[in-house]
Amino acid sequence: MKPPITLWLLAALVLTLLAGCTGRQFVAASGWSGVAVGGDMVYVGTRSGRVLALDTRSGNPRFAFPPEGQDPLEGLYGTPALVDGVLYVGSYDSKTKDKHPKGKVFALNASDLSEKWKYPNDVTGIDRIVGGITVTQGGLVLFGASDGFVRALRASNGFKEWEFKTDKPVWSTPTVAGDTVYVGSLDHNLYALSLASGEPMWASPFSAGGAIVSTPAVAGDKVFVGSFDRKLYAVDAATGREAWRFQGEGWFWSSPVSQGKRVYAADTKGVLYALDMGTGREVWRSNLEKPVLSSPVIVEGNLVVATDGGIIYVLSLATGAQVSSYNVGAQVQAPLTANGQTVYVNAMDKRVWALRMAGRQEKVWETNTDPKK
Amino acid sequence: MEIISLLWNEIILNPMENGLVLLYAYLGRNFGITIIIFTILVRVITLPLTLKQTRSTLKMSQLQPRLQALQKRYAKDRTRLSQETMRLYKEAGVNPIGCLGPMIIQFPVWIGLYISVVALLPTKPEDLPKLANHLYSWLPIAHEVVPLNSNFLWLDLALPDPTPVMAVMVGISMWVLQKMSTPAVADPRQASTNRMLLWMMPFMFAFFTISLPSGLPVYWLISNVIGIVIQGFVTGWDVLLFFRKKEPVPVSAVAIDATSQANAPSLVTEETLDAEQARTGGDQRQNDRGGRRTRTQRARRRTRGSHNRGR
Repeated sequence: MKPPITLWLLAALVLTLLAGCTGRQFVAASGWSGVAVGGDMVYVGTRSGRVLALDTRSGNPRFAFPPEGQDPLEGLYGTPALVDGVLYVGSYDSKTKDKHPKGKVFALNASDLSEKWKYPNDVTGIDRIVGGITVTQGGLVLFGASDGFVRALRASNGFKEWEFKTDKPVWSTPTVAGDTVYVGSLDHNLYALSLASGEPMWASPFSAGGAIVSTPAVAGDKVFVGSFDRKLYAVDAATGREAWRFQGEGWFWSSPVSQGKRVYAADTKGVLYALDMGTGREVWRSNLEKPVLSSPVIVEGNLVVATDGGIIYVLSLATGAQVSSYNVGAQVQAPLTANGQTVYVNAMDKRVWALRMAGRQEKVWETNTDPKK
Repeated sequence: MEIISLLWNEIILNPMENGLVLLYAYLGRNFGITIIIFTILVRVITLPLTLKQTRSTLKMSQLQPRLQALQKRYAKDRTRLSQETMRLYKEAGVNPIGCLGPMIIQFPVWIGLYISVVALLPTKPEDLPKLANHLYSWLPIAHEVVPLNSNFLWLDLALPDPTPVMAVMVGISMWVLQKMSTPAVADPRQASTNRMLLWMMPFMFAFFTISLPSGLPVYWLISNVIGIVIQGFVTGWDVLLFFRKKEPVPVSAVAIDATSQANAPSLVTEETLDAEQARTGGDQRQNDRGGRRTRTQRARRRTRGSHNRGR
């Protein structure tokens, strides 16, 4: 009976191939943190699970949290927030390694990255933190987590002020305008919450057609937010009613930015759109060919945007014409950070770049954040 | 290689991923139910091939005594043995590699489903945006339902089952299916190989279940259960009656009549082989196709099949 043997040998071959697949996906989460700038140091959550303080002029690491010799954190996604000499950073946790969540928010002294407080202040954690942290002038630390909660902590001691539950994980970074917090959720909703109490400000949340991970942008009386349903929405900031919607080609993962009467947003098909803020009419579009996940920034009248292909483009705000480009040689998914003429890029190959945008782009420094690499 | 990758993505992977997301969107947004329905669809589509395989295996089993007689008779003439074996297969309407069809079709489904589960149920945030460009732009609902909910019963379908439950269920279901579908053979060496495979395959699949995202073992489990049902209806459930006392059947009592000779020759001697070779194979072929077989003959065939397995 030769056929069955052949059959089982073939099955064994396929199973061997499957065996090669096992374990592939269970690589620990690593992150895409943006960069925070303050004084003579810039701060970044590395893909190796540490927060690094780098020298602004040279890029050399000066401090690390947790310090070398201690276990790293499991994934740093949100951009750290730096306010009044304190750096706030949220950590992810990977449930593939541990049944109990280990996500935490840390407040670190910016001068040496020593720990000031952490939330929760015990061995437990909260579910994975993917979005960034927003710190208000009034001393509130706002963030969302994968347990669906938006939380507000007191910046001075990390005690919880309020929390608000959504139906799905919150990966969007909260945006504060006046006394309102705007935040999106994977439950498709955009929420407006009272900064003081966390109570909903709208009669009902604004429902998009897909999940929301992008950070809402507030300009004038509108909130702009993109969704996985490939639409960019303009919502009345006071009532939550839709003002207009714009149909893109891919997901709006990165956050929109606005200046003047225009709002700019890029999608996962690599198309960057400039839209009229009042009507949603397309003014121009630029095809960057590779997906855009990194949120763009505006530097001296130009739009700087990074693609998954590793190219940092500088485009004219007026026309979308390309002014210059720079190849960092690795995927960029972290939001860009601008400080004056310098743009900081945390690439997926664990290198952090400082690029000067005066005229042609030029490298100020690049640093490998993983010494083992 | 690029063209192979393109074909794989366009013909298998993208349709599978989008099909799964579409099922998910309309089936209560439950990925476990999506995989179950997907498995049933795959099984329905491959049903004609599965039936063909099952019948072919059955016939192969029934031909064993005759093959053994041929091997004995032409032990010193390999060419003649090969010719006679092929003639026997042809007369019985059996394709010796026909049973490979459904299994070969399953392979790309397994691999495609594994890749789809990994892509559709990312375990870390950086894997989610990759999905954006896999979903068809003309299928808006696919974009609206992501990220998909990976929870089903006690399982996170994106991760291996933390309990041994799935591994045990996959192992047992595979063993039962193997037991039912392994043809009875007269050759002791082949019987020994079959016995080894009967245990090895369930153990291998149970082992993979421990380390693969549980979405794939759910597919295996449901597919095995469907396979058991199909096998049961085609070849009978006798093999599952573990505690039934098997009554020995006197060899002499097994008659080989002219109409069922090709189907169930429990005892075939060189004399009967000679007699058969002297005849034309036309009426045998007709009987093998099963079109005109009576209910009594079919029942008799099943009984003999079980006796063969029991020996």
